[in-house]
Parts: sequence; structure tokens; C-alpha cells
Amino acid sequence: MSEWDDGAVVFDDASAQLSALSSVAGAALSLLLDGRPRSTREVTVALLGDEAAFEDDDLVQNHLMHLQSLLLVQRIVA
Amino acid sequence: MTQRLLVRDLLAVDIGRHLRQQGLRVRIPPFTFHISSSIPIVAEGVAAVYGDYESPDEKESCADFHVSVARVGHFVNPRCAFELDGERPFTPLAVGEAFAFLEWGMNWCVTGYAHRYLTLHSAVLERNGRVVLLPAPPGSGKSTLCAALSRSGWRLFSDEMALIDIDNGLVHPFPRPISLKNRSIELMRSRYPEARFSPMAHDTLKGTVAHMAAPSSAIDHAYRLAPAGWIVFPRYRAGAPAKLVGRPKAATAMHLAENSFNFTVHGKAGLHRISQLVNSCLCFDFAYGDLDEAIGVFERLSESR
Repeated sequence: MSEWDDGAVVFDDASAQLSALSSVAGAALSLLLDGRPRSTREVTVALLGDEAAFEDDDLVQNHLMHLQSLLLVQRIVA
Repeated sequence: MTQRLLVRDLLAVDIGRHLRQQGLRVRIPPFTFHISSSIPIVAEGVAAVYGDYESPDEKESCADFHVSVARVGHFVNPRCAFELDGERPFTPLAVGEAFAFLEWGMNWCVTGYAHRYLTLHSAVLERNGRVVLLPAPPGSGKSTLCAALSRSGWRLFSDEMALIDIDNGLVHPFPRPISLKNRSIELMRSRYPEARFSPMAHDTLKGTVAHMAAPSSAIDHAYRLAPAGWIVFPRYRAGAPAKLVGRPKAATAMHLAENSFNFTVHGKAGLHRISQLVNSCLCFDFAYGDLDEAIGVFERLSESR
């Protein structure tokens, strides 16, 4: 994956698929690439800091669902 | 020291004979093509736009690609077929398109087989030691702008593709004739009366097509590689003032990757190389409606770093 201030581009080896991501989605994916499972709230706090509002979770959730639709991340039911 | 034989050192009649019989080797750095054809318009085109290229003999140089344009079909509807190593990858076209078909086929050979490069769909020119990439879809005025810049102090690398060294990111020149369409042909003929042109191919899928010879200085320096400095997406709009506007890097990288001829061959290494390319370049969208104004903008751009 390559990241810039204005977005990111990711190449998935498994599918040979190239995708453009927003900068938030790119940062979220970058965080999740270590393979450690995280909740939406954990991702929000990691990206926006401790003072992130709970409404921000919805925004991050949308980005995570986009990553999921691209088969770049997987949702795990707790 | 032995004298290099250039295509123009052969008489026109000999070019035709070579093409019909043993074939003609043409060194178009970084490749050597072996070209055969018995169709007169091919000989006419080769003589018109490949005169400044070296024609090595077979002891000096192996050909990377053996290509030909062969006459096929009946007398009532003569067609021509492009061949690579005797295979015909495309549907035959009208004989009048034979030289254009050769050009398109040669492009295809490189984009389809030369995978030691990452190849991007873009015009490429160099000035002051740095390269500008002009990636743009057909109809954007890319080739017209490229042709004008190649006669205005910029060294032509290619009208059609950027050959990026996958290891070090340097851009390799591949100076070939510039493919012009419709009104651009007459425009370039009138602006640059000294330039040489291939015969016109009428009623092609792209309209009327002619190829303008690469300047001889571009061919003479075709072994001089250069790093990229700018990526500019041109768009011709009648009457528009020439204007450069900064372009997002991520969108630029995505466009280059999607319009690469062989990105999937390189995969992750290709994305790494494109990212480095984008990071090392100033990226712009460029609207223009007047060629002289556009040339002025590029002149200032070349002095900007």
C-alpha cells in the first residue's frame, strides 16, 4: 500500500486487485495490516486520538465496511 | 571505427527491396526491430519517418522483434495483416492502413513483451535533465502537444509510452514517430514544414492518421536516460486559457497504475515504483486551448526545479 495526504492506493496480491482509498481508509488499513483484531472504537481512537467523539465511530465504520467490501479486511463477530 | 549505416543511407528503392526480401533491421533504442513487408506504402512510410535511425546488420545486432505487414485477401478487397514471428494477433485492416498498422503493432510488441520495464500509457519528453510524463486518454490533445514540445526545446522520449526501469526508476527514451490524427496533421505540417510525415491512412477507427518523424536529436540521444520531474495531465479545450492546477498524488498514482500496460506483471513492485515516481514529481492537471501558450507554460515549468 502507498499512502499520501490525499489518499492511498492498495494492491492486493491475492486478487491482483488495485484499489483507491480515502486517506482515512488508508490509515485504517495501515493500522490493521499488523493482523491484530481491533474494534471500531479502537480504530477510531488510534486514528483520531482519545478525544474522538463516539459519532466518529460511524464514519470509521463506513470506511471499514468499504475495506471489507474490497476483501481487504474481515469482520470478526465478538 | 566503422560508420553506422542509417536507414536514409539506403536509396528509397533499396528500402523497398530490403523490406520485400531479407527484411530491414531498424535500431529504435532500446530495441531493434526486424521489419518486412511487400506493401509499397510501408516502404514509403519507413523511408519518410525512419531515415535517421541506424540499420544494423545481422552480425551487429539481434532483433528483439521480427515484425511484418503482409498483404492478405483478394484483389477486390485487399487487406493487410500485422505479424509478429509469423503470428497474426489482429484482424486484418485495409491496405491503406498498412504503415499505421505497423506502428500500432510495434507499440503492441513492446507493451506486450518488454516486461523489464514498467510501461505507462503516456507521452514523455525531457528538458534540463528531467522528464515530463503526459498521461492522457485519446482526444485530450496529448500527441499534438507532444509533437509541438518536441520541436520547442524538449527532447522526445515517446509519444505513446513511458518505459520505467523497474529497478531504479529512470525513464528510457523510445523515440518513435508521433501518431497524429485528423486536424492535428495539418496543424503540425503548417507549424513545422521541415518535419517529415508518413503517408496518411484514411478511414481508420481513429479517423485519418499520419505519423510525424521524431526529431533527429531525439534519436541521436536515445541512450540518455533521465529521472522524472513532472506528471502533467493535458486536456485541450478550444478557447481555454493555459492553466496548470495541482493534482492529488493518490489519484495520480491510481491513474498511472490503471493505465499501465503491464502493471499486473509487476504487481507490488509496480506500485512501489509508481509511488516513488509520483513522490519525485510535481503533479498537475493542465488545460490549454492554444499551443503557443501551452509551450510557454512548459518552458516555465522546465525552469521550476
